[in-house]
Amino acid sequence: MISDRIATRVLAEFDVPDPIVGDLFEQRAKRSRLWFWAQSLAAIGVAIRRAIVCDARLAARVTLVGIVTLAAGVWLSWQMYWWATFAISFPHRVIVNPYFVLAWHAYCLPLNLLWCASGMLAGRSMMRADPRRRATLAVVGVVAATPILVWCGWGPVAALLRTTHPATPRLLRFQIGFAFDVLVVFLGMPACAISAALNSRLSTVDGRPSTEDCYGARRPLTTASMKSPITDATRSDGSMNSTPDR
Amino acid sequence: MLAVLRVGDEAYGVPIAAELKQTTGREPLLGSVYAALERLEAKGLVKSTLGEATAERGGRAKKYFRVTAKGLRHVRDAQRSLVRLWSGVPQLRGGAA
Repeated sequence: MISDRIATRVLAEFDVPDPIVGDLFEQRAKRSRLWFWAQSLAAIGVAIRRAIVCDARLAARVTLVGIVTLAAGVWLSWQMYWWATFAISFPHRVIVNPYFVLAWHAYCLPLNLLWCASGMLAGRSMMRADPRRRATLAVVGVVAATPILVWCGWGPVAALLRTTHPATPRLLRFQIGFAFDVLVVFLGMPACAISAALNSRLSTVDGRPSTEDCYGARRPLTTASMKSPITDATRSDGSMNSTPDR
Repeated sequence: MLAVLRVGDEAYGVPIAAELKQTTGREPLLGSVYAALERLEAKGLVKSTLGEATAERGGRAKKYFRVTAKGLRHVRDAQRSLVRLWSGVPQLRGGAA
């Protein structure tokens, strides 16, 4: 089933421990789909929290890298975009000019692409900081970068809300443009950051970190600790196929 | 830990969550159950072992928990403390509201 594959991939990306994933799949046939996804999201939330608690300094570093990269990309394009959004205050005769509308869209589209590129760059930078917990830290980084997204997105949102010109088809095209900008900022940039983090070639590093000992030894994440959770659990508890010691 | 003790030998995530639901009336999140159990394990109060991997679970092993001797001592201490606290509340004597 496709949703099974998606669930497996997502849960694995966020380092949800195998016994929890097994329990979720075991209960899946007996419970509703809503229960399954609600429990999965909660398990991901717990796994993210555990990853942060496990190495808070690393999480802070990755977050900082993401925010700085995103802020740099947005700052580079923001002035240009802001100049263009002043068009909404232009006299009505300028706005109804079809060439102006066309020029405005042609001008803003590369800026939208630049924002998406900033998101991808931020995702890649976060991945470089720690390729092992890429999904978890990308989500943490994007959540932490929300103020930047709001800063970048409030312009088009305000333009959408504050338009006082009489509604015309051409004005509607402007509105669509602003709505598209809002989507790019609040959905496109985070999505680009997370997908770049997940799909980067650096993600082929051998295995994932062990988070089994997060509440215990709190050892630093070194290359030696980068091993599969299954392998790790198996080593600490004996053979996976053996009968449990009960 | 009480839920682990009540479930007995088959204490892994699902039965423990079911036991908690049955006794408290609220269904806990599986992730939270495991997080709590891992914290208890780090303190040495419970011990985990990996069980069989079944096809029903997508080839993933069960993680069984059992309370250690240290954990059992903690439970008894907590019970004694609670009983002492409980008996010292004058408003609860006699069962009157």
